Amino acid sequence: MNIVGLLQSILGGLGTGTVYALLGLSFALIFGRLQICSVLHGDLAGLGAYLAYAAFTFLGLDPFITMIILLPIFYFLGYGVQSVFMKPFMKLDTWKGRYQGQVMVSWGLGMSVMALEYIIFSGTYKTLNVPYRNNVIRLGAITIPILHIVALAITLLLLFGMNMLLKKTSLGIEIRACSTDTFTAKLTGINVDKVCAVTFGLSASIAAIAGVIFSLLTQLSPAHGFELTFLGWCAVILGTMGYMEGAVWAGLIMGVIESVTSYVWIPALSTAMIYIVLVLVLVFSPYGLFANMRNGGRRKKA
Amino acid sequence: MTGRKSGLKTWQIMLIGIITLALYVLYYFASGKTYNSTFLVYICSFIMAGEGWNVLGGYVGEISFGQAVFFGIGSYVVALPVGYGFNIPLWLLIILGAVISGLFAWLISYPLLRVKGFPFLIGTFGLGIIFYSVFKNNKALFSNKGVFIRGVNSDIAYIVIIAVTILMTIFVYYLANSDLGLSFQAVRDMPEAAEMIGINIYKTKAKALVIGATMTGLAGALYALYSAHITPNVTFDAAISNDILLGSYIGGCGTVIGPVIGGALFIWMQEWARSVITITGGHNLLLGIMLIVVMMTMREGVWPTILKLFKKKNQPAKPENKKGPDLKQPDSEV
Repeated sequence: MNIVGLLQSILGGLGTGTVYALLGLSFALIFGRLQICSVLHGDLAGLGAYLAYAAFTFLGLDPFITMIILLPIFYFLGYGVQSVFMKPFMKLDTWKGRYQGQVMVSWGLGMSVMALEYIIFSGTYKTLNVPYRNNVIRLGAITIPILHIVALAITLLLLFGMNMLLKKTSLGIEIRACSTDTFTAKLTGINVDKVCAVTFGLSASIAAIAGVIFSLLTQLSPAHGFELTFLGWCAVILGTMGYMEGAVWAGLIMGVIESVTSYVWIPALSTAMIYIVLVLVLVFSPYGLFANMRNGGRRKKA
Repeated sequence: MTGRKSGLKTWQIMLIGIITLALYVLYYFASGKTYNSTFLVYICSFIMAGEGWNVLGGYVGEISFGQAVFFGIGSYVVALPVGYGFNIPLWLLIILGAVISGLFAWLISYPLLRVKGFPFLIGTFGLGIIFYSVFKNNKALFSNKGVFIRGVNSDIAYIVIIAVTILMTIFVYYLANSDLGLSFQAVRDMPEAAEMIGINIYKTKAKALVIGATMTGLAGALYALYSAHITPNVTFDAAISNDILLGSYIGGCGTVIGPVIGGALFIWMQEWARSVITITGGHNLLLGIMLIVVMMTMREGVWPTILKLFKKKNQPAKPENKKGPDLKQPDSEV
């Protein structure tokens, strides 16, 4: 173990952490803002990854072009999921059937997506071999893959874009109005159902981006979808629920934990280490790492 | 939900269920350790684990995605001493398995149950991953071959498992109607009011978790006894947690009979789906569709829906005045 290797693994962790960060962002968007609970997005990301793989292998399309094509498709997919499957539960109280019902329905959808991947692509590991996959930038002794830099740039750009969307546009104002008080939002003429569907669509598009990045960073297997879902949720909880940036930072931290564990200790325990850290954090700070940033940092620790 | 007043009816239905099950047991008992009896034991261990899940998930409303942790601890407490060759009586090991998984649940209740909802859901899933990877990659824990438990009379194990399943169902029935069970339901339905009466929410949830984990651990220990070969794939895998959870959910969580029906239905469906779609992992398609259909059409699960149909046919004239005070809860936790 030397210092260069450690630095290298930390940088690599930041690269893989972007997938968790993006999934955390998409969960934070629908859950933190509108109290819609879903365990579907990991499987959506898996679907995006497989579509990128199929487009590259059979049509020769570059994954980043596929990503741009997938954005509207996944937006309408998410819009449909929210307005068909999640909407019937929206009128229930959050813990009296809403979350339970939404978890189960979205899980059923996720299971179906995973099974379709199994049927179409089979369970063997697939690799997306783009020519620039192994290109690196050298900084002295440290090498950084170009894809990691691109992934980090996309993540930070999306975080910035989401913040701008929520603060400046009228859609963002409507989303924030629904998140503070649904009833009053309805009174002022906001179509709450539509806002929910649009937000779900946006989060599904973010999941598609996460999926394409995931397909470029690791090997693909249909079972990854379910794991990704929970890693995304882990990012939301580590980064404090209701603080959107927190999910992104926590996702990046999780990536670093994973990669440092596999460098310093046993690679097989790298995912388990994330959850060990989660439990330890919950012992000392039940609201996550950024507990005093909840509700936009205005109100200190409720 | 089982209240005190509708007790007799549920009791009668339970009796019918027990008699049917007993007949079923006797029918298969004649044939020894066959496919059918193994399948029945498999279903029964999932029913036991599902009832354990139901104590917390159904009556308190905290969804656990890692019930397999307790199942696995129960079965490994039985399996590890046997694997290392210690000569400890098996019945003692089974009790130890239940107790140790209860103790472990008490330990993890502190970090996971203090904040409502999602930390518990994700944390229990994470515990499942932690235990699975530790047991899968550690040669000292027999990761390469699993543990074989020899010298168990499978007929006796079979009878014990069926009997414990029935006893556990009855135990949950009495628990649900006891003061403790009612306090569980109070915490689920109206936490603010429950706290005002003097129920400590965190302690009540922790009690439910410990009781549920003990029951699930017992299920795991008995399953290890019968199946005689324990690997991480049949104990700690996330798929086992999912099966436990989905069985209870489909049957109707928060009811006594729900996990029994749901567990049997789900395990049977799984086996059927595997025979229909033979591609690895493809059977999840049918299960996912079933889950969506069940949740969209009968939100509370199969058993409450059946009960509702039954009630509607028999006594349609009763006026509906069940609606209690409609207190809005502020979602301060989220």
